[in-house]
Amino acid sequence: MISGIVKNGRATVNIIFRLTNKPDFTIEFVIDTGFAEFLSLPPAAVTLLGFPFVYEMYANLADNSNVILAVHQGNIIWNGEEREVNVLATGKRPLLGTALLDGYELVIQFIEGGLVTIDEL
Amino acid sequence: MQSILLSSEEVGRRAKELYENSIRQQVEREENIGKMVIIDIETGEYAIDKTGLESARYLRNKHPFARLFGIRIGYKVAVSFSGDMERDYR
Repeated sequence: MISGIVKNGRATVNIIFRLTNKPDFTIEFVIDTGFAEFLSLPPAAVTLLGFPFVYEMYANLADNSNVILAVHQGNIIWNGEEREVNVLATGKRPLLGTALLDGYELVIQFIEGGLVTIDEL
Repeated sequence: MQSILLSSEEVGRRAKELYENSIRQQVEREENIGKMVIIDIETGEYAIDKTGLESARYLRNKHPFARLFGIRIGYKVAVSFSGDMERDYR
């Protein structure tokens, strides 16, 4: 099980990143069920953490415009296991999308400080 | 061609062209819908997997400076922030 809390009206979870030759590193993500990928992080954070660049692709934004985004590779601990995921270098707020929730049940107690749980189905 | 000097937009344009002209008819089958096809825009080589990470690794091993572009099979764009993933029917 993965758990988090509702903070400032947003469902958040902490994701542990496994970096090469460095200690594990935790970043708080906002769960965004309109975002159809794994994770997004601000470009500066992606550079700082040294996530390798993999490829580019088209992305559709909320205003229906299309942009090209860079995909990087990050290694995270998800449900107790190390996993290789796409990290999109974009935006200013770390987002966790539906690709990571695939096969899981998401429960949010939508009040301040409420519990967020993500369970494998 | 020195693809390493091309802009992202130009890489995207060439990838789309390669996809429409030859790759699409080979990969667009039911079992591949939703998977990522990664295209080396210089050689036209491509590989498919669920996230694109494996395919990109395979293509980059062959050509370390490859310009790689990802297309989600059967969809208009690879990712959406709008809550909608529009299918690309032809």
